[in-house]
Amino acid sequence: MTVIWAGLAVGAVYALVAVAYNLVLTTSGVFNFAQPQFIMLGTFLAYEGLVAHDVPVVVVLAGALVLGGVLGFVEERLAIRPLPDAGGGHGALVTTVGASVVMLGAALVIWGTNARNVPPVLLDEGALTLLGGQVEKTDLLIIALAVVSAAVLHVAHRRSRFGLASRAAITDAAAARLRGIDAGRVQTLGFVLAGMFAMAVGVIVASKVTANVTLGNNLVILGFVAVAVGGFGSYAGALLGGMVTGLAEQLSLRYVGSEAPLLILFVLLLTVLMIKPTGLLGDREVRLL
Amino acid sequence: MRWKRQAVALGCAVVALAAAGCGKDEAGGSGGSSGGDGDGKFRVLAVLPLSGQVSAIGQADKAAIQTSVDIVNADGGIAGEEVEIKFADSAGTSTQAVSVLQKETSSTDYDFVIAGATSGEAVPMYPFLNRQKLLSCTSAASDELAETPSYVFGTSTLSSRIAQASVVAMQELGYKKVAAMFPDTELARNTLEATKAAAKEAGITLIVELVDPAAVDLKTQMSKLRSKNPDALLLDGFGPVAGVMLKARSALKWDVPVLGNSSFGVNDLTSFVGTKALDGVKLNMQKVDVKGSDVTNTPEFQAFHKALKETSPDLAFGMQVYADNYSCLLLARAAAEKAGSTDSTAMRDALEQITDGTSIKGWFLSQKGFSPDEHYPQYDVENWWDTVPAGKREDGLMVPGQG
Repeated sequence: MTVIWAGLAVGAVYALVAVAYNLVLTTSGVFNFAQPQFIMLGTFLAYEGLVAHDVPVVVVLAGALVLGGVLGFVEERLAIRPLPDAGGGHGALVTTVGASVVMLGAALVIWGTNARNVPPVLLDEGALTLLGGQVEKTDLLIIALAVVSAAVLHVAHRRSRFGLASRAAITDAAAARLRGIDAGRVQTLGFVLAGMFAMAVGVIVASKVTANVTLGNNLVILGFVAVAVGGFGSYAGALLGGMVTGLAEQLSLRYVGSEAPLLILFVLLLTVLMIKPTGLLGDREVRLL
Repeated sequence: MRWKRQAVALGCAVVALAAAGCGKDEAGGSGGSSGGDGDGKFRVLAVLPLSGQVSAIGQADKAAIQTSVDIVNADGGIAGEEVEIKFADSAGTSTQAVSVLQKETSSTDYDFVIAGATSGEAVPMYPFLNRQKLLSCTSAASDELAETPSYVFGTSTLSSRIAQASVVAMQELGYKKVAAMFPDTELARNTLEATKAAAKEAGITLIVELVDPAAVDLKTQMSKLRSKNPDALLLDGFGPVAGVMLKARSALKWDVPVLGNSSFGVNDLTSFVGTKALDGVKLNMQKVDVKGSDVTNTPEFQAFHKALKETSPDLAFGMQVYADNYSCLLLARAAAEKAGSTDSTAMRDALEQITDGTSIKGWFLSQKGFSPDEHYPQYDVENWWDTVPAGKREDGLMVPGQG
């Protein structure tokens, strides 16, 4: 059972990355390769706030929401908005990677390559024996965060005015404009929300993943696998894809070998995409790029 | 017949130029083995990863090298010449390292090169340095460089020796069946292979788990090792993965004794985990990394440490990293003094004859020196390593017994 808990905990991190990818994807059609760097920056914000300056966790989380939102806004204005095609077209592929490199470079300049330990937030350090397996309290918090955020966003995407507006804008921007929906504003707000969410996630997962500059690049591929397996644009799919990815990785590590996980994950990805190209819970093909 | 005379003259000119070029090569290559060019400068080129992913280590190396330059110059320089250093950025990549080395040496005659902080940079630079007969030193630990010595010397501990030391420690602690967790990197794989061989010879069973160096959770692989019921757990790994390993052990509440080899011990472990996670963790450390050891108590080390702290107050890495780089210039000075020249071939031959490390001025690394077959320090396991309880770091040194 310890392996299952480990798979769910790692999977929850991948699911949170996938949810952040989807926040941009469902509002603009852009696959934002820079999104995991927001999580990396969030881990350093946690280090600066909680360790270096002894700031209360609520203030750190509030700071992460503000800073994440501002950075998301700046990214959309500088990396997406100037592109000629709606939603950025193929150019967004390059510019979001560029934004990712800029964020990584800034982190390297500020914090260097040394990793930093961050204490757990909201729950104290320690492990529990649950259903016959050992699991850290922080892992339970991360799993809960992934489930709740995916559920809330799943409902909001289908029921709220903003969710419906973003679905309209992504389906047909011109028609949405005729109905009074400002597709540009929806896109900007999507980047802002994704930035806020990802940076706050960074604060919460920092104790598990440590604050280190390589984190964003490490998460970019596995987060992509999670969103592709679960279904592009589906929040429930992001949760399922993340958990499946995490469990497949940890079970293959336990029962096959340390060199197996990547191979098994990509066989899984290809199998899902061949059988159901929209992903397990994707009900429509999102017009990527 | 006029064209014939012109052709003969042109031919003579070509031959003369070629001869001049050959003559320069025979004198020691164009790369700077000038043997004292009379301008009162001993020119050193240091190619280091000053930018990129491993820039933090490059900056630490730079601080240590600058400290050695300051100390050597204050002491009269090398062969009466003032040391002048140029730092060049390899960006931590092999192509940039070779490119910047070629560019720099084509325009300036260097007397000595400090070639890279990682084997990824040092190994590709190696053929060029030898071809140009440029006396060089590297802090990169590569058995490949050590196997075919020529103009390149090293100051760090080779992975084969780290392995040997950890196996000796396992024997002393009475372990017979040991679980080993190593990151899947080239350096760690080299150390692992050497550890396997040494453990087999010592009659120790090693159960190995290679892990992703970017892993964020290692509980699964740790529980796999626990299921084999080993006497102890051997850990290797530099950077965040070291913390992830210790966190996984704590989360599983596994109280197995842990032995970290000296690659693992160079981390500042208390920056990754709380001190509670260090319960039962011992480190097989090089004495240069341990506060209060007979190496760090020497006047030579303390002079270096004091000077280093003045130039670099935030010593983020283990002292071994700084000491290896600091020691390169000491080798150059000892070689020039013994050779009575700054000619690179004469200096290399002289260095190969320094078989007693203690005769090198300012040196506090191995007691044994070098030979034509050994261009890396020959560390005695008994004299150079110590197994101590893990603790926190202070000024780049680990304080044992507080973990």
